[in-house]
Amino acid sequence: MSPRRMMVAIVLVAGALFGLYSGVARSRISWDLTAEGSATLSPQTRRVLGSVERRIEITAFFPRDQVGRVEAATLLERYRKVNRRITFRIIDPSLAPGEAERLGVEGNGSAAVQDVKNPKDIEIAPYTIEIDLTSAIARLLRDVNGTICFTAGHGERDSRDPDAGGLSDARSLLTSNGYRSRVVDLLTSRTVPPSCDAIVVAAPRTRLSTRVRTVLNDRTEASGRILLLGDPAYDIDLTPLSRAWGIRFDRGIVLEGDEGSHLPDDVTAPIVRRYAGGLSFVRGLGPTFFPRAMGLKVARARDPGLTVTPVALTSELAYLDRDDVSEFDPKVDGKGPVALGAAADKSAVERPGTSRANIRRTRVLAWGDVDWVSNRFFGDGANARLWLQGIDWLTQPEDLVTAVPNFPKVRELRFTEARSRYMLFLMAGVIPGLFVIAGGLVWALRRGR
Amino acid sequence: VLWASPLPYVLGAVFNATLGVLGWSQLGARGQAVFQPLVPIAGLLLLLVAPILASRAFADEIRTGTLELLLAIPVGRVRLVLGKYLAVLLTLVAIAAPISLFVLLLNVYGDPDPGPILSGGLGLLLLCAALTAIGLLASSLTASQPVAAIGGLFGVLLLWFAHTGSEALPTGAFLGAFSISERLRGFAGGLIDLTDVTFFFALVVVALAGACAGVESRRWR
Repeated sequence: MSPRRMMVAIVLVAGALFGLYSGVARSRISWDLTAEGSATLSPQTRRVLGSVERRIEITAFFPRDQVGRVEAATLLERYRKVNRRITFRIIDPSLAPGEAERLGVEGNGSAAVQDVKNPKDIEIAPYTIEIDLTSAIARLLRDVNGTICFTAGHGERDSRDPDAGGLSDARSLLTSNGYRSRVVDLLTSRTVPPSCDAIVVAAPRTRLSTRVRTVLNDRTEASGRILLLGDPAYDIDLTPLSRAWGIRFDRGIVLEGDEGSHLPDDVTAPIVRRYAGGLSFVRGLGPTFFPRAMGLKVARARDPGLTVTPVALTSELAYLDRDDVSEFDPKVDGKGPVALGAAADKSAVERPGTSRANIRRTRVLAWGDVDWVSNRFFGDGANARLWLQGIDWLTQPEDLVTAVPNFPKVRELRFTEARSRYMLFLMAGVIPGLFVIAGGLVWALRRGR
Repeated sequence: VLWASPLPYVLGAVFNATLGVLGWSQLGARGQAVFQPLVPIAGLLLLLVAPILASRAFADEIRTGTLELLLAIPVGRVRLVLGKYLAVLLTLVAIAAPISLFVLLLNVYGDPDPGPILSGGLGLLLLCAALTAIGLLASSLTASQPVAAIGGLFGVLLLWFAHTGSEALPTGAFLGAFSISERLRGFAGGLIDLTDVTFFFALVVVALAGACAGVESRRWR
């Protein structure tokens, strides 16, 4: 073959391959072989990534030998594949402690999501997993950060209190995720400041006056966005603030009968694994933990535009103990599953059909416990995530709330010391040894000829 | 002839000893029956082994002058290159095959997800195919085996790290698309993307076409 013909042939082959590759790339055909579909990003994540129009850098912090480093790289690679504006790096925090401090990352396995053009815009993903990363990117994309107002003046749990019963960790998480927070004393303030994007009423201990109830109800009627945290330890009933939304606080203590769904030896500490209602902020959420909670009743909504849903449910074996006797009495107690949280949504389209059409979100979230969000229990299970995503759901557009994570199942390796040694011996000793022996035999045979 | 030399045995011993230690430490640290962390380790080791293994294919023939004899026999260039390619590829696969023992042990000691094992295995197979082809291309261009090995190694390292820092360049997305390590990650995680399969196929075809041209060019000199 002449050089010229060879060149032509190579160009033709390269052109054909390029055409083939381009065609295949456009078809986007792929097969996710994992049992849980965990190798594919959820549609929510893809939607969020589709709206990224600026360069974003994700910095994940993993020591060299930490478990999850490879998985994190694989996951981040998927993000990058969907949108090339997203770049990532994985840093060993022990080698670059200054970088972790600069980005405000504390724990190993966390990730900082940073706007490359505005390096001060940083959101933290507590874990380098899809649900956290997507939420962090979504928060970064928002131009306006919300202000969360904690009410005070009636013995509410203090959002600045660093003690076990305080809510300072919950407040810190909001701050590290781009929210501002402030305390509104309803004894002195006659209205809820308009700057409040959401209001948190955290288990008041003294009765709310009619004026305060009116202030809160007026505000909720106008724009929703209220988070009510009741608690059986206090006598104050928050139902007057939630009744209009079809939610009623059901007094009593939830006792969990399923051994796998409560803390060891403590039936008053249910672990929730069942979330209902298809609400975005609890979809795919891990177990959450509600020590000493009361129940919530959800009424059929009279308003056709209102949707009320129980959010977190105990097991069937749980019940709401209303008479303080630790034995189920069907006449008095509430049969399980008991709703520990409820959500109401009366969102509507404003100015429909016009260019200024807009979704007005009036959402209310209520929980029968305040301790789950207190410093003592905030780090347990997925409590912190539930808190943050609940606030996101109240204040943010739907597609910027959270993602559906396809968590891979944990497949335990039954590794004993002896098995571990056997594996090392076989893989790093016997197999290489066989290659050496085979090589030696061949050498000896050839030498013998 | 390849197995008559000490090269595959030495490479096989070093590859498997390193994979054994690194793979064992990864699985031990995780405590999970997963194949995923073994794939990039095996990939990186193959990156070092393949160019050395393939370097001899044509470079030695050129150095000893036997290539002229080969070219004189009535066998097409493509078949000649394909023959050499398959010989080196099968040797490389044989060297890497003991990784399947890890799969066996994972099944004995745990309940691994078979999907990522299949996709990871396919990814490693495609990587072997691509690395061998690039090694063969390097070997067809020089009479020196060390130069072929270093040239091949340089080529595959370039492709392995093609994505690194690519985002800072205007052509970043284009360069990043050539990264074989990025492509391998998808396979390791349990995802078979037809684009990645096509990429590896195209890489093999281009490299082998280049090797054919390299061999053919000997006739023009």
